[in-house]
Amino acid sequence: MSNFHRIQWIDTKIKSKNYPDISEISGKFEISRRQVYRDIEYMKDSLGAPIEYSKKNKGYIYSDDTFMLPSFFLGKEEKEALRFLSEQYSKIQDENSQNIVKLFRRMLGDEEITAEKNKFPVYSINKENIDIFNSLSEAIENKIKIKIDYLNIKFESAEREVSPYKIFNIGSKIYFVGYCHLKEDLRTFRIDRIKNIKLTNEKIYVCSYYFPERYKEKHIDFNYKIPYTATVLFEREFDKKLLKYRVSEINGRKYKIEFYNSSELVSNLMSIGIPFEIEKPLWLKNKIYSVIKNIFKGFGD
Amino acid sequence: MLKIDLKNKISMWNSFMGSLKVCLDTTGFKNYDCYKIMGISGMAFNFVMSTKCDASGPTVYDWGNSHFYMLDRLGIISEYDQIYSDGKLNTFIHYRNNSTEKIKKSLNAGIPVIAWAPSNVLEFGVIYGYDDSDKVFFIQDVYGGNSDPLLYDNLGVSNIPYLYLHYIKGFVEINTEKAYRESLEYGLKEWKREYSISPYYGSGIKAYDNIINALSGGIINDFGFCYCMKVYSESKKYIYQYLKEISEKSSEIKIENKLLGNYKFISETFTEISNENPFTGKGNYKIFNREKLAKTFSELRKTEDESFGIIANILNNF
Repeated sequence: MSNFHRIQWIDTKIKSKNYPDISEISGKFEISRRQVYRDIEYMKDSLGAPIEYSKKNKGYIYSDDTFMLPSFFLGKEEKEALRFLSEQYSKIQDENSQNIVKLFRRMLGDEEITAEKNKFPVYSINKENIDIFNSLSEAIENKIKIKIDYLNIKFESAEREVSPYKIFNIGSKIYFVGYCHLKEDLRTFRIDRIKNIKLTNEKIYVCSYYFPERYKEKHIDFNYKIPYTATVLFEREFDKKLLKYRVSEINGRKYKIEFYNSSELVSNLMSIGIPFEIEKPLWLKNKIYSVIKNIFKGFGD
Repeated sequence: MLKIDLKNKISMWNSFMGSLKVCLDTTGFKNYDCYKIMGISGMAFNFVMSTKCDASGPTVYDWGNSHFYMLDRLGIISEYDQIYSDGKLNTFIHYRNNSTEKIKKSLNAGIPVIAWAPSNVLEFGVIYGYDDSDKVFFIQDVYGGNSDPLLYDNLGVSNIPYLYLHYIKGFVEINTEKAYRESLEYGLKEWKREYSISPYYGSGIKAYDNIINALSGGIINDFGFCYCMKVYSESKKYIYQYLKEISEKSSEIKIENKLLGNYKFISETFTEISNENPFTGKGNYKIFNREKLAKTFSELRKTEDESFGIIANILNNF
């Protein structure tokens, strides 16, 4: 997690009147308290933030609610993300989206952005998806095979060798179509289920019955929602790639997992086959408890 | 943590009025039947169809203002927050925090709050509890199942990004005769209105024109048509039941049998059309027998126009 993200997070928390304190910030990002003080000083001195510690609320506040974070210096990672977003918005032909594209390009220092052949649909994104998208685009452009670690619908992971053809989206899910050399047939894959991607030196196999027009984009939508965060303790260590979510490790067996739908999360957790305990949030704990209780009711006493 | 025990689930296709009924039943402010809520408020008379019969027809109106006056006709004291934000509004967080506090205040007083799209379903629903430690609101959407709660930070965030909350503050007794009269006046106004929001959306008699044109060789949204039929078959049924109540209970308004007969026919025909073109919420939709349907709608148009002529005559007597 970069300094940029930390400061953004602190800013959002303060504006939402969540009164973050040193312990919360250091715990959230697993950094030292000293580093948190440095961040706060940086916000105050370099960014001009009217940040103050409120004894009453036991956390940081802005003495001037109108304060807005100024533009940041963009690191390589941020630039990549911004360039990527700029490409996505450029697909939408309305004035607002084109203004966003102009703004992003200005923030990138008027760098020329070359249009890519494959465009990632507008979607809530994370760093992993960007990396996978970039590698996949490169493979499609250069017509080379890829090897992916892919979780199927039952969340079983397997290595697949694929000749990729086209990226498209249906609703908010992003897919690519390609010839799967394991299944010896055309297959579509969800990008968020790709855990790892490697480009090979081999040229793609061209499938005679692949018709690109059959894989059209359908309904581009936005997802501004913030995910839920669960703290889950597993009985023993395991390969965290089995979790299809954005995950951060708290210690060897305890993870913070970001998710949007509790049912999907629970089926993923169950499929791993390792006993687990949900520590937070309480509503999720209660919900699972009530689901299990109902299942047992079906078996009588 | 606080959770209000809701007395029932949202049972109406008009999700705003369905949510309102849940709130009223739960608080015990007033035990209105569904048809009465739809009739007195005037919502049953909202009949809007776009030129392509999109699913948006039933929800295209100025929510805050319209709902406020509809609730007033029912004797409900209310307030609302309504902000459109697609992520560009600088002050959005301020308003969202403000709404969060208002919701908690209402819940602490035992009154659930009506909210736009509290889950992923793009319909109105009910917020009935909160938990500050997880920073979530407990919600019920139109499916009534065990929905995931709504994070405080996601309040007002959906694919149709409105922060819309309607708070019920109390109830005053109303003059029923006045309520009957004013709801019919509202219905007549809706029937004659040229369009709702933009000329793309025809209201009342123009809604029929849009349906007939779309079915007679125009472009029609099959999904939208089926959804609208489901919503409006319910509305027409409630108009019939509401007029029946007026005919039985009003000392001032004389409802002729002709008018009741017309609405019985309209209600039954809409239900029949909806059953033949069912809306299930998923799958592909295809409208068959378009020519026959267009003729049926021409007949419905004529009958409902005649009915509003009768209503206009009734109102002229005041």
